[in-house]
Amino acid sequence: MSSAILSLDSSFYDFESVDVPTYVPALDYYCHEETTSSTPHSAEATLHSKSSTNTVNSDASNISVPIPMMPLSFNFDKTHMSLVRSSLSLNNHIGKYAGRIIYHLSASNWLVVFQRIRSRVHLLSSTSEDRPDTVDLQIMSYSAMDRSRLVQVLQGMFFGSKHFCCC
Amino acid sequence: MKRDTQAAVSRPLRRAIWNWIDLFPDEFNEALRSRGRMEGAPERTFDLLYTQQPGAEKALWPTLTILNCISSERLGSDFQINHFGSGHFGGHKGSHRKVCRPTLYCLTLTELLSDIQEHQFIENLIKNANTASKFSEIAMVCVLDMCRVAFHIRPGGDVPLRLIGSDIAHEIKVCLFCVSPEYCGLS
Repeated sequence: MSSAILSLDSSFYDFESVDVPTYVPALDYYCHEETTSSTPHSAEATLHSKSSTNTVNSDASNISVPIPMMPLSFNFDKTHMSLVRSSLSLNNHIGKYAGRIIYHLSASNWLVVFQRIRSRVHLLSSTSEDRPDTVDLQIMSYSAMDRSRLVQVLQGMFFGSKHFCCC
Repeated sequence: MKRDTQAAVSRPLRRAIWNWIDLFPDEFNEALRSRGRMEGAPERTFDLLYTQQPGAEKALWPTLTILNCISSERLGSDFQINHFGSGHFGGHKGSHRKVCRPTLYCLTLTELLSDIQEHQFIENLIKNANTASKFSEIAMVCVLDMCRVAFHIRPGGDVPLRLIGSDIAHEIKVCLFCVSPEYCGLS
């Protein structure tokens, strides 16, 4: 299946270019071709959330489920020169690779990443600026999510904004 | 939450939810099949982001759709699409819920209201996708998203979203093949 079909950023309005091949780890699994119920990434390397020595409760979040490494992240990708000529495609390209870094950061140091997201949501809920800075929220799009993390993020939304609800 | 904030939060949130579905298919399937796995978080976030006021449909609707899809507790099996192209939920809401949740849940008024809210939202989506409105394109993106989620559910078992997905797929085909005469210059 083409990665363009599954791309979440598709605008559905025009032809989309696929600059970097997007690999969806669970695609084979979802195509219902497997007969066993093994996880799609069981044979691959995985990342675990590790507690560092100087933080006391950093392993409080769920550490039971290993996060799969992002596929293709150790391959050498040559940037096509045509991507560099347009600022839009160049930005997308940089965003994609920055996203891979954030993915691996969030897989092993979730609390730090989550604090960043939560403090931004808090700030946005209380600010009265016209154009507040929302770049930190993009971290959410690239984080390695499992169920407990997703629930944490969702709870961060409504606990953070409970007192400032105005519409 | 202010409208701008809602819009800013909702786009990355949608991608975060899709990341989870892609990364952990087992967890996703389990969450849809068993009650309470998500601790009510998608439902409450839906209520936070849902608003009747116009203005940010393009940013909010896709996120509301995906939140709705992972709220297994609210998306009931009583959803049907009628032949006039708009979706509706059959049966009386209160009585149906009582049958579904005997003594487990004591339904509060707010819970009942938000159930209706969510159903209204999907009905509105399908209506907009089917008719020529200014939101028909974004509504189409949303119903395609619902189909995409339905495709991610393993066969077997009774998951309402699979049935809804196949109904919606039919609606999308109708939309695709029944191009209105104006597009062909025949009006």
